[in-house]
Amino acid sequence: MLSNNLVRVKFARERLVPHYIDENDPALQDVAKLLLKLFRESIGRTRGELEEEIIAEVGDTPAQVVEQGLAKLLDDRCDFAVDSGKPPDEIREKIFMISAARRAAGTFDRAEVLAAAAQELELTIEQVELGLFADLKVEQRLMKFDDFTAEQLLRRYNVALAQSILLRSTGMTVTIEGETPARFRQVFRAIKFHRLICEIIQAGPKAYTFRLDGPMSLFSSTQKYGVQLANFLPNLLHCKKFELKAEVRWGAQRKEKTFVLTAGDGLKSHLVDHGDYVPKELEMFAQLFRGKIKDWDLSGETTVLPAGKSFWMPDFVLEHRKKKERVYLEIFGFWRRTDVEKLYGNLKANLAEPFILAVSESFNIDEETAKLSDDIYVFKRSPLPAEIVERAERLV
Amino acid sequence: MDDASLRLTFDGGTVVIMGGTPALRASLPHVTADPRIGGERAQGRDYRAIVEFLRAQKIAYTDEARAWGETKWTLKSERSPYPHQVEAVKVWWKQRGRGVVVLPTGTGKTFMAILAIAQTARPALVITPTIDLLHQWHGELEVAFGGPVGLLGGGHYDLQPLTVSTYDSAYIHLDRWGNRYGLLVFDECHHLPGPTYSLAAIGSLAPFRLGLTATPERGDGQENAYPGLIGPIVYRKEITELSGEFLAGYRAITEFVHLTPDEQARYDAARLTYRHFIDSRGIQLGGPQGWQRFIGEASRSKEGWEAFQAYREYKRLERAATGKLAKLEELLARHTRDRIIVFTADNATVYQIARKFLAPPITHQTKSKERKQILERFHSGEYSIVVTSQVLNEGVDVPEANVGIVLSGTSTIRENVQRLGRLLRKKGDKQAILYEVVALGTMETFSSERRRQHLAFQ
Repeated sequence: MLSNNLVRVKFARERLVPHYIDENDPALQDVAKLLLKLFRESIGRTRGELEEEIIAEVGDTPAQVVEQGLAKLLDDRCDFAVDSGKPPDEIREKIFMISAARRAAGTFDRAEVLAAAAQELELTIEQVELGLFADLKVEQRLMKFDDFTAEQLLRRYNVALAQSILLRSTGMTVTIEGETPARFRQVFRAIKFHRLICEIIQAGPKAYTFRLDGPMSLFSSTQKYGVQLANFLPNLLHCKKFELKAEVRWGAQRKEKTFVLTAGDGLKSHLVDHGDYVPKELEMFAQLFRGKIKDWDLSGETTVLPAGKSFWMPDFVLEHRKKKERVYLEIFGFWRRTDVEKLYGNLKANLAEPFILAVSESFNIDEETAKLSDDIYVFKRSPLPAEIVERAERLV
Repeated sequence: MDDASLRLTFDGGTVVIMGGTPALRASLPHVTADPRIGGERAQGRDYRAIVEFLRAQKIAYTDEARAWGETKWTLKSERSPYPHQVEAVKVWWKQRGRGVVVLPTGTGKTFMAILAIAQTARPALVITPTIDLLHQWHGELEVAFGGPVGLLGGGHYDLQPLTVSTYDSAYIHLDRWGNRYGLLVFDECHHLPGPTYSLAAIGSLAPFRLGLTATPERGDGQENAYPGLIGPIVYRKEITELSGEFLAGYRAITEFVHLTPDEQARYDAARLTYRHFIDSRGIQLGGPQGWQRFIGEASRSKEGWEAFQAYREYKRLERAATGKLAKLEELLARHTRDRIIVFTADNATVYQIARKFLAPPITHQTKSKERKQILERFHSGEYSIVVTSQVLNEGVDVPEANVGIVLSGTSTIRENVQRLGRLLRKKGDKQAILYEVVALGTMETFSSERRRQHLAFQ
C-alpha cells in the first residue's frame, strides 16, 4: 500500500476524493515502464543505490508523488537480502572486540583494527569494511523482483490509493447487487477471513447492504479495523455492481470525511478471481426440477440468511405454489469443498426457516444423522427433484 | 448449553453477554445493546465491574470470557526491596490493585513491578515501549521468577502466563491476549494515552493494572486518561527525595565546538533559506500546528520543498559537524578506563560514528541477539563504548555506564532526564559525568539551554 505522504486526495465538502490515475495515460505508462526496467535491472544492487537511482530518474519532490507511489508498490514486490563474505554480526563482533582492547591499551588506530580483523577473519580489508553493516536496510541487496506489467502496476496504484484511504476508516457500508450465491459466499469468506463483523440488511430484490466494522466499534469509532477493511477491498472489486461508503478520519486532526467507491470507478482487483462459476450440474438440476415438479417453484435468486454469527446463502429457494411455504436448498457436489457437518450444526441451531442440504455421498456424511433427518439428503450421482420435494413436504 | 443462564464471552477486546433476559442484561453496568449479535456488549476494561456486580447481586452466570486463573508466583530473587518499593506496592494493592506509581528513573521501578506481580498472583502481561526494554524486562522476569517468560514483539510471538510485550504488539494482537491476563503492567505508561495504544487497556479484561513512569505529565494533557485506562496516580516520589541515597552523584559538563568555515557557510545559507520561507509564510513553529503547516507547505510548493531540504541540511550539519567528531575522539581518549554511552539524535549519525570509531551501535535495526550480546559485553567491560540514538533513552539498565556524551538531541526535557537517568545507577562510589557537545553558532546553543531547564540540572 502507499505510505501517508504518497496518498493524493482532494476534498469536496465532506467527501474525500482520491486522485486516481488514468491507466491509459501514455506518459504514466512510460513512467511505469521506466520504473519496471529500473527494478528489473537492479538485481544485485543495494537498496540505497536503488533508492538513489529512483530519485535520479523520477525525482523526490512533492510534484512527483505518483511516480514515488508507483516505485513504492514495486518496492513491495522486492526481496532484499544481506550479501557479505561472512555474516556481518560476526565481522562486527571481531572488530569491536579488537577495537575495545586497543582502546583500553591506548593504542587505537582504525586502519590497524580493520587490518587485524581482516586477517583473523581471512577476508580482505575492503570486504571487512563493506561487510561491517551489510545487514542494514539500506545496504541490503535486491535478490528477487516479482515482475508484472506496466498496465498491472497502474491498476494496482489505483487500488492501493483506495486501500490507503480505508486504512484510516472507522467502518464502511457496502451494497452489492445482483450477484450469484457463489459470489456472495466468496465475499463472506473474505469478511470472515479478515475478522470483520458484519450486519446485513436486504436493500432490494437482488441487493444486500453490509455494515462492516469490528467488535470495539460499538463503543467509539476506532480505526483499529482500517487494515482489515483495506485488505478486504480487493475481494469486493470482483463484484459487478457495488457501492462502498466508508467513514474516514483524515489527517492529523482526524477530520470526519466520507469516501465513496463504486464499480463505476473501474478499479480492478489484483487478486485472482476464483469466480462465481455456476457448475452445470446446478443448471441441470434446475431444468430437471422445473420439468418434473408441478407444486413447487424453484428460484435461483440469491438469498442471504443470518445464521448465528454467520450467514448462509442457499443455492435455491423452493416455494409451494399454493401454500407459499418456502424451503431453502443447497447442493454439495464434487465442486464444493465445505465442512457440511459444521454448516448443518450451525443451521440446525440458528436457522428458523426449513432447509435441505443435498449432499453427495462422496462427502461421507455421518449415516445415522442422514437417515434420521429430513433436512439432509444424501445423493449418489445427482440430486433427484422428487426426493427433495418429498422431504420439503414433510418439513413445512 | 442452558440458554436461560447469563453467559459472558470475550470477543476482540469486548465482553459479549448473551442468555438471561434482555432486561437482566441491560441492568448490568457499562453494557450496550449490540443489534449485530442480538445481545449486549461491554468494553474489556469493564469486565471487572460487571463480574463484581453479578457477584454482589448473586446472579448466576457462566464465565467463558476469562481465560486465566490464580497463579502463584514464587520469587526466586534474594534481593531485598527498598522501603519505597514495599510502600508503593502496599499503597497500590490497597487501591484494589489499580493505579499509577511515579518513581524517578533508576529507583527500581522494575523490581517494584515484580513485587506487584507476586502480590497479585495472576498471569501478568508487562507492556513496554521499546525492543530494548522488552528484552530487559524479559531478562529481569526470568531471574526473578525462573521458568519461561513469553515475548510479544520484535519478531517474537510467544504468550506465556508471564509475558512482555511492546505497546505496538499489544495493540495489534489484543484480540489474542485480551482475556488471558489478570494483571497488566504498563511500563513508561505516559506512552499509553492516545487513540491507538490505549485500545490495549480498553480491550483487556485484566482487573488489576499497574502503571509505571517517571514523567506522568504529557504535553497534550492526556494524563487525564490514566484513571480510566489504568487507575489514578496512587504513589509518587520525586528525584530530589531519593537522590544521594539511591542514586549516584553526577556532574554535567558542556563542551563547545566550532563549525569549520565551510560548514558554517553552508549552515548559514541553509538556515537563511529555511528562515526566509518560514517568515514569509508567517509559520509559527512554536505553536502546536506550526510544524504540520511547514510539512504541508513543503509538500505543496517548490519553495516549501527547498526550505524543507534546507532544514534537513542544517540539521545534518549541526549533528555531524567535523568539530563534534573531533571532540568525541578527544573525549573517548580521555576516558579509556570508563564505560561510555554516546547519544545522537538520529541513526545515520550513530552508524557514522560506529564506522569511524569502530564502536558497537544499538539502534532499532539491531537484532535482539546482538543487542543482548553488546549490552552483556558492556556490562562485563569487554566493550567500553556503546553508540545509540533514542532507543536507549528510557529505562534500559546499564549500571556500569559512568560517562555519557550527548552529541545531539532534541530539546525536550523528558529526553534529557531519561538520558541522565541512564548514568545515575548507584554503583560503589562512582561519579557519573554527562558531556553535552554543542556546536557554536548554531541553533543548538538554544536547545541545549532548554534541555537543562529541569529540576535535576539546577
